Amino acid sequence: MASATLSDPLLYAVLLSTLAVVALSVLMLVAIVLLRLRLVWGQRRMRAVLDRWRPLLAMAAAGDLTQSPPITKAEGVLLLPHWNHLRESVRGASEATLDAFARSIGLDRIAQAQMASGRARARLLAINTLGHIGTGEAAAQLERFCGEKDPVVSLAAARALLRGDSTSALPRLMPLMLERSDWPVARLLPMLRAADTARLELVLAGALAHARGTELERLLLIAAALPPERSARWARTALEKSESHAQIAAALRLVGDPRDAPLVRPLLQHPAWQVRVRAITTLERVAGPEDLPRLVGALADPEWWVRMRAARTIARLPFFGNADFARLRASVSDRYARDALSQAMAEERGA
Amino acid sequence: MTFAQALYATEVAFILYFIAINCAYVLLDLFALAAMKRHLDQHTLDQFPQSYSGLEPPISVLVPAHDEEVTITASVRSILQLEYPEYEVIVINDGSRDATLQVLIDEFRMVPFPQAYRQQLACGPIRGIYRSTKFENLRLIDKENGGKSDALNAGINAARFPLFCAVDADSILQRDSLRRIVDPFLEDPQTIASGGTVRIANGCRVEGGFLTEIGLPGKLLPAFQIVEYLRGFLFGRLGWTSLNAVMVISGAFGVFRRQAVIEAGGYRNECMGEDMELVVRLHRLHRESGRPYRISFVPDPICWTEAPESLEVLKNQRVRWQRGLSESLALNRELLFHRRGGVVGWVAMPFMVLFEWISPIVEFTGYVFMLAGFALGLVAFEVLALFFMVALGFGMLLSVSALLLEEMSFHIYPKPRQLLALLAVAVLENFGYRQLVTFYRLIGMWRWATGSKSSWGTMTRAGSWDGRP
Repeated sequence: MASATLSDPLLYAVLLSTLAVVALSVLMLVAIVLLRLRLVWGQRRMRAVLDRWRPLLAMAAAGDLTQSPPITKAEGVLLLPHWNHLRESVRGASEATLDAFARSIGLDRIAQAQMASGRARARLLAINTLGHIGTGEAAAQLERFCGEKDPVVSLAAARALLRGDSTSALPRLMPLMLERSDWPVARLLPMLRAADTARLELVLAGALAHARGTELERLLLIAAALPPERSARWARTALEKSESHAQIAAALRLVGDPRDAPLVRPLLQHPAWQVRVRAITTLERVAGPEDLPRLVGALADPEWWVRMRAARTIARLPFFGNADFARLRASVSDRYARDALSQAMAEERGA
Repeated sequence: MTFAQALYATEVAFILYFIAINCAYVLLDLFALAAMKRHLDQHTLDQFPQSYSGLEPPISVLVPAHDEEVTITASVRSILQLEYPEYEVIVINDGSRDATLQVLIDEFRMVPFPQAYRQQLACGPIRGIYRSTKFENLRLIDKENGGKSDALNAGINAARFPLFCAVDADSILQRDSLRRIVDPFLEDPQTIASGGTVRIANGCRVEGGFLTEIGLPGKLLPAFQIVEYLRGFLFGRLGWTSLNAVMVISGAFGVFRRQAVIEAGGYRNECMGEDMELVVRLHRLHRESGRPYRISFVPDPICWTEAPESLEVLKNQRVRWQRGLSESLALNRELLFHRRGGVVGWVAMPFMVLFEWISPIVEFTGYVFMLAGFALGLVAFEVLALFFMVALGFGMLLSVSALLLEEMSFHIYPKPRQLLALLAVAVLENFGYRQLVTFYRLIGMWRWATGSKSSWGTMTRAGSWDGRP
């Protein structure tokens, strides 16, 4: 009845690998301590840099700095995130004074050097910086980055280009924005809202003529970056071009002109309930008293969401008083419609 | 086969199982490391001021509450202060025996609300629906007691937004937690669920429902759980993310696409691990029907919860978790090696079965076999010593590697003495704590296998971190 012993080659191998694992654990413990030491040291260096440069950044933002002291490359690398943070927090004249300050101390050159870095984080920071203070050479480099497969790097480069010169960047970037489904529209909208509105409208209108399928759908979503009064101008064209449910629903978001109401009304009968819901939501913005019967009709829609939305829209109509609403609720025989109206009345009119 | 050969084979089998399970987790850690680096790189620019796009989907935050009269007000207040463009909060009073309902009605000036309630998921009878006159995005559903799943199903029925977020009433959320957890939905429209990282709040300071200072607990038991959460919850799940095979989204904080959950039938009331079961079922249904989908995990520390501070509560919790795991795997066993199962059916699920589900049996039997064998003179001392070296050595490697990843990423415990304490805990937890948890899990297996009645038990909240009475 002999148990295995360590003379067994298999168990001996296990012993050796276990010793290796224990040694690896000890190495990891040491690595953790070293990482923490590096972190603490890095934080100290950062504090020293900020102690020196934060007051200067504040003066620069206020436009009170006349002369900039020299900065070392190591200091500049540490300053980049703070400069970016401040730059993206300020508005108005401080933007230009901060840019001038950054150029005067050579942050653009430091960022340019960081672009070549193999470290993704350093590269992204550099891209962001050059979006504010980059030169023509940097713009060419950023444009190359826009074509990169990595959506994070390419999107950051697109954002930087738009910041630098949206007028010339918009026509070049729009095809990419429509084509690249890995660039979330939710990320594009804040970038585009900061761009020149007139130029954006022009570029979007141009793209609308050719866009088809998913590109058209993306374009209609991107158009939300325009102020409502501008996007409403070409909602008619968008609606006429739209074919799929998703496109129609996206186009309906743009409608804001009561003159477009005739285009919306037939969509209350659309076979897809998602379109019917969106059409009712749109009517909330453009409906007149003549639309009331249609909305009341929608209270009997087979889809729950359509009924709820119709009830809410009726409750929000400015020309429909509380007494009218109460009468309507009393006159409705359908239980679901009555429930929807009761909820809408409580929510919208507190009754 | 002779007795000696059988003995040899058994000894080697136990040792190799311990090596295999730990190597599998080390491999998962490597995946987690890659995923973590990618995540941190991708979110480099998120440190700068962000503006909303207007396309963020509105969220219904569901807060099931049962006998929470002491904590519910603070919890709801903190949820109402979250930073997100549009969300509603639905508290579901699941037949509390204490004054939870009245406390909510009084504190938030709730009035009866004529909601057009649409029952898409089966749940217990609704006694009333209320709406706050102080916060227009706050509603309360009062229903008969039916358990957490039942309460969540009632909340889903009442939710009006396309995404819902299930939150434990005692969870402490970061102000930007909704914005962060919704990111996967914006990045990939095929996302149907997204889970957040849950961290241990014991030892931390909480003011006004938000975490204001990160600290370590004074007691060893919750400290062990910090390392355990890092290992199993954060890096275990992060490792599966890149393979789209996250099998668990914690009930403490997770966002789901409402329609996907309704189509799947909602939370299963008979399950103790309703959170895991739902996620495994979502995987199964989408894989079986060939529908594209994504289930994601956000590693940022955005949700904090209180860990058990007594052995009794810890035991209840682990028994429940193991039962939940068993139910989730058994109820969705068709996914295992299903021809359309993909990574989930062919890798993640076998991994769960081999290294999570049956591991308490094998590990516990291994310990008993080796110790009893040695006592009876059947197992040589050097083999016994080797067995423990493997168990402890590899266990330590995993704990330490989890800490290493934490130090490389968030290093949320800022003080050097906290780090040193965690390092000590990472080593110490292998001497007794892990074996104890294995034993509790074995009890969970037993109760599941015998179908013995089990309840949620009572989670006694120490609440030392938030100054609550």
